[in-house]
Amino acid sequence: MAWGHFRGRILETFTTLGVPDAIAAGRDPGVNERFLRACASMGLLKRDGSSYTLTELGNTLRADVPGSMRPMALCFLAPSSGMYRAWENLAYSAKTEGDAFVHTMGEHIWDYYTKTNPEEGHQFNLLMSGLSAGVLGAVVEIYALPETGVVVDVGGGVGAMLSAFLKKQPGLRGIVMDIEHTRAAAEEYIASQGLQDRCAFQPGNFFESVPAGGDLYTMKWILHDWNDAQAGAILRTVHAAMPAHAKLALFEAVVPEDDSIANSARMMDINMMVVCGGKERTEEDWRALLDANGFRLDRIVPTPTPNFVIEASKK
Amino acid sequence: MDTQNQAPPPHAVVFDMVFSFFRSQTLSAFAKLKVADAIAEGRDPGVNQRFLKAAASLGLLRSLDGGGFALTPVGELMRTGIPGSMNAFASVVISGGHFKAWENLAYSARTEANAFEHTFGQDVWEYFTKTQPEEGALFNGAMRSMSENMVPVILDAYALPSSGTVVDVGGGVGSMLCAFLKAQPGLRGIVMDLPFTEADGNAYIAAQGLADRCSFVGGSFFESVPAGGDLYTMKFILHDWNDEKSLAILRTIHTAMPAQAKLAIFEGVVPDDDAIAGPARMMDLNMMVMCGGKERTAGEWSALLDAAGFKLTRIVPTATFNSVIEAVKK
Repeated sequence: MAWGHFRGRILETFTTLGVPDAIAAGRDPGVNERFLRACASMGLLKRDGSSYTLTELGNTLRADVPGSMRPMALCFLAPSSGMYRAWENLAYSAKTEGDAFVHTMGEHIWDYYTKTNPEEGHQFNLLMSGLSAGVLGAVVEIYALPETGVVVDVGGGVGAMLSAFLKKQPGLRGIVMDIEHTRAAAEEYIASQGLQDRCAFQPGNFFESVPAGGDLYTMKWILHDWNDAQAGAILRTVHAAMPAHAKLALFEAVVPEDDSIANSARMMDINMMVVCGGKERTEEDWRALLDANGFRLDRIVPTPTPNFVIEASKK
Repeated sequence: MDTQNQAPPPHAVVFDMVFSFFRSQTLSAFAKLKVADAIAEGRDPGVNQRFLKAAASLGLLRSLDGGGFALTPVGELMRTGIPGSMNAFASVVISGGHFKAWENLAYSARTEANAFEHTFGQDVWEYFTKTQPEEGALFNGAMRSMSENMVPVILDAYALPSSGTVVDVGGGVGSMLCAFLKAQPGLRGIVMDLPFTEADGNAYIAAQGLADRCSFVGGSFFESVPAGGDLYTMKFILHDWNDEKSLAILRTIHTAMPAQAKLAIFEGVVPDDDAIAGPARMMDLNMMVMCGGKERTAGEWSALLDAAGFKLTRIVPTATFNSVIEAVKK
């Protein structure tokens, strides 16, 4: 387990120094042989005598490949990054259940990314849109979308998920809701998908109000950013806007109840505690949270990813 | 068999590497907060339930029917003050000086120079003895535990002579040598280490009831080691040093060794195949970053010994990453 830290450091250094980009371009990566061999031992490179080639794994760390994992390595593992610094203070969160990011950096992660360090914020956005793209295919495949009506994606960013839904179901219309800051990028994205006639962006704050009158309300990776009190407030805002017949679909992880299973969801839960004071939830946690805020959990649909579709309706 | 299809997709592997950082941080906090001691003694560990559940998902704890947690065998290792404890190791290698020096891995990757000195402006030994003696004590504890765990592994794998004199070069207070002398009642021993260890060494040897068969000699292995031994041993010494310094140490021993004597080095041997080298390659970078030392492959050991006037006779594997590298004078 202790080696995990070293592996993380090697992965980040490999990425930050642009070793995969140099090797792909046939340039000298400018690092020593022992470092390259350690990278090879992690499966990032393949050694043939004194020359090294990228493995499929190493190739994902290049800056210029589709689905690049570079933003992930930089956001979590660069010693200068906010999340790395916060993880260094895990003991604080372990003792208090408080937000180690705020404790360490003196501000909430979203303020840090938008105001203090927008460059890192940009990397984080790249990371999240990459991750979304990765699970989106699975969600679109598995989840039975309605054929008609209006889908409201709450906290939907530029509208990547909603656009994928509308392409799958030509009879659907959509509203992406996110903060005003996202408007220009969202409108551009929606137009680039040719969906401007069926999809609109509406700015807003999900603690205050969300668009009324939808048939399906969706939220992907929103509630795990927030503690139960805050998540409850968001759910109540959605509840107030939802017609009686409408459904709510949350795309989130469901933590197995059995702690003895080596599951990444428990680590992700600690990550949420450390970096933003949020949490990952078990099925029971989801049921209780929804119930306390006027919803009934109808069903949980697994996907081939660690994410599930948690479907609820108004009580 | 198509192994390609069984490998996890590359994106999942990168995820897992990021999670391996989370896991190591969780282990480090678990060790530093002494959660295992509290649980073993039935006290409140003072950490939240979610942290305990995460520790359970790593196999450090198991949840009990009706609430509460118990230590698993892995979790037991995180107790302090028990034989073979790995608490100090988990506390020290993922925090403090190690953590900061590893932040500058890029420096070592580019230059092959010691990132620790680059970071702190002093070498790791000075840092542990003068600047951060508390962390130094923890580090010594970690190394002592590793040594203690290593000795039975060596005794299991390596046949000691039944008589003659063993000289343990850089042997600390003599814990390994005393274990050897207990295993072989016909053996005598000399522990050699820096003079500041002499009082502790003599006290330890006396406490083991071996004062009549074992003595401590103060000195520096760059200058001279006791002459006339039958077996010279060094455990975890040469990996702290680069090839030039290692050669100097080996030459000192060569000068002191009788023609028939043997040299046994207890160290890691890095597999030539990087794909299976795993922790050995991590350890090599750790030595590069922390002290400018290195881990060596069989070929590198052979070349180093050859340059110092020795012939590598055999490498005896053990149940761990460490081996016994045996050599004689050419």
